[in-house]
Amino acid sequence: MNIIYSVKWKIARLITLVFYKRLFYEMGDNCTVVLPLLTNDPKRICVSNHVRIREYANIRFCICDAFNYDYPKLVIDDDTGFEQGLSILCGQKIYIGKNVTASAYVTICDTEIDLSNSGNNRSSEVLIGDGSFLGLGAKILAGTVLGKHCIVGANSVVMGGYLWIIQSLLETQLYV
Amino acid sequence: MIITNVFYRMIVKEMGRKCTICKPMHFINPRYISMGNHVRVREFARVEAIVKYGEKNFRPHIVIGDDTGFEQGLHLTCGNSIVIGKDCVIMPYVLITDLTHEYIDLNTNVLNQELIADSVEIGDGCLIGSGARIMPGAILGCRCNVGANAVVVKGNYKDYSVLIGAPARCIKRYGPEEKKWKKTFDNGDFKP
Repeated sequence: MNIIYSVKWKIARLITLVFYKRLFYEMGDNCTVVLPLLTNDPKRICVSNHVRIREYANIRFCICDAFNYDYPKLVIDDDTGFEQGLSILCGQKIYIGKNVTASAYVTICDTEIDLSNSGNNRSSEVLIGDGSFLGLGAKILAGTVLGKHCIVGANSVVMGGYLWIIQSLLETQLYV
Repeated sequence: MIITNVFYRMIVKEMGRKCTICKPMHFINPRYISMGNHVRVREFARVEAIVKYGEKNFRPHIVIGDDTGFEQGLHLTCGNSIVIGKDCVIMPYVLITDLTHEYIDLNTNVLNQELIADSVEIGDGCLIGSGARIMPGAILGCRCNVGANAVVVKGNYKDYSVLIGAPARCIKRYGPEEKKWKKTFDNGDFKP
């Protein structure tokens, strides 16, 4: 049974090399994207070396500023891994640093949908620092700036800046 | 169900009658899983028994009682022991795990650090709401109700308790003497 999954992983790696590498804006070496990946604009995804994205990822882009052609943009740095059921909604810029570990069903979103009729969706950048750990089912909302080595507990909702605080659900400790 | 009986019966350790497993996403080391009768597991389940991680060896065992049903998107990872009782109802996108990553050395990736295994027990007749997370070391009594999106952390939880929130706290419990539901303090004692 384990052989089936290692073969499946190798096939996914091959598909990534052949197919996704051309489709994405940029892709480094040793990346793996397992097949059901839903996205509406793969040309806006920029991926570095050794990034793993597992099944059923959903990466959506919505254009908030029609005059800025560079944005929206999703940048994923080295050695970052996402488990299954990742969902990203990107309106401006999401940067995910090196060595980030994200568990399953993580949501990252940098736009706030305007519920009045004006249709101005407000978006602000999301930065996730190096070595962070996102627990299972964590929700990262617009304007979040996570510093280095932050730990986000399971099912927690993060909004605002946490530059110097390592947040943990099980143990709340302050680091400077 | 036919596929379950033909294919999955061969690879799991023990399986009772009338079990159904619908197309799991990952099913790693199934020889450490023993199931009772009439267990249902729906789509996209990710069931992993970890035997070796890095240089550390584990002896996992997963026991699932009779008539327990799992909805879709189950994430079950085991390093030591997970025991799930009879007649449990487990809603979609539930995590049940007894493993955590150590995070001591900040310069290496979390995934390259050691795994710590604890044990998880879920009593008979529990109802676990959708999106709930059962973290390592949680021991639930029988007929517990866990609310949607609750995070049940390490600790002992008494029988017939209703747990909500993150981290989960007890709000109600069935009083066996009065035979009705009564409000409780966070630790599960009845309010006067």
